[in-house]
Amino acid sequence: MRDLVEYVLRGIVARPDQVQVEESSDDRGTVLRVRVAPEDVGKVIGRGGRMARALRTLVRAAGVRGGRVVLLEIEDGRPRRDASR
Amino acid sequence: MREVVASGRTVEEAIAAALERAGLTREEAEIHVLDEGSRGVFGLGAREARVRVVPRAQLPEEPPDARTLATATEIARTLVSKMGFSASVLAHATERGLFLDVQGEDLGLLIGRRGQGIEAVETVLSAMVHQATGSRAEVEVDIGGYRARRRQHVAELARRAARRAVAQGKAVHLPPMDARERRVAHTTLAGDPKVTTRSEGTGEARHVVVEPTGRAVPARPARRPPRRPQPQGRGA
Repeated sequence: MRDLVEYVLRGIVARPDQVQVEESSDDRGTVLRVRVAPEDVGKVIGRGGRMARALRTLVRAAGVRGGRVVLLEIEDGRPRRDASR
Repeated sequence: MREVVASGRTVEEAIAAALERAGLTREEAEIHVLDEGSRGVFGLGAREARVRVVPRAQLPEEPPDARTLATATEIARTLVSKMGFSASVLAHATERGLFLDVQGEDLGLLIGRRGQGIEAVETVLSAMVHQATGSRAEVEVDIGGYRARRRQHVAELARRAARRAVAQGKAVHLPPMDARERRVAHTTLAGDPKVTTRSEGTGEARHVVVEPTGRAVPARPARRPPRRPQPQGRGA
């Protein structure tokens, strides 16, 4: 799963070397925390959150396929919001 | 590509309608305001706003070359397989970019509810293909033939609605659809002189309305409240 997210992110950012995906799990399921170069944050979120939404949709589908719940958190350098959505 | 003229209650609405019918984004279009419209006085003398949109500079994007197609195919294959699905990918060039056809067994999860998974795959793949090839070609995706089937279904719904509108002499409303599918409905009936089409409603409720030509509003709307979209407005 981490492999999937890294693959996609490295394919869309300007600084693939700065992509970091941390995998952990909590009571909600598998959590993937994504960190990219500050100048790439906009790309990963997309206009109106379009890219972030697409990434979550893909990760959810792949998760269901593999029989688990997977959440994606994108660090945007701002204080954490509720990350569960 | 041709130009499209559409009308709406406000200039903004008219622009949105025209862009939808033309299948263009705001960046891709040149917008000319033909008539800013007028609210009139108590609905008297109210005119709808009219705009014309033309494709900007005909998008000088060349068709993707063989290498771009191969790169796109490879990226799509890898993505789908990393998601845990086994599928094959065929790519071909289109008028505005490239089309990636993902085929395989058991792709329901990838397609998603109402095709939302396809939407997501398309968003991600276009960004990846643009980044990898430096081209801005439009990337279109279909998975398991879902969109092709939907297109046929929507076209059939539209033709049926047209027959009913003509037979009963009244407007027929299609179910809500996204912009892509509404466009299929509009284009399916664009050549039918017996009906005109327009879109109505906002957000999730936006849908196509098919009505018999010449039925609706008279050319100079005297007393109608200004809400009513004009007939030539087939305004998306």
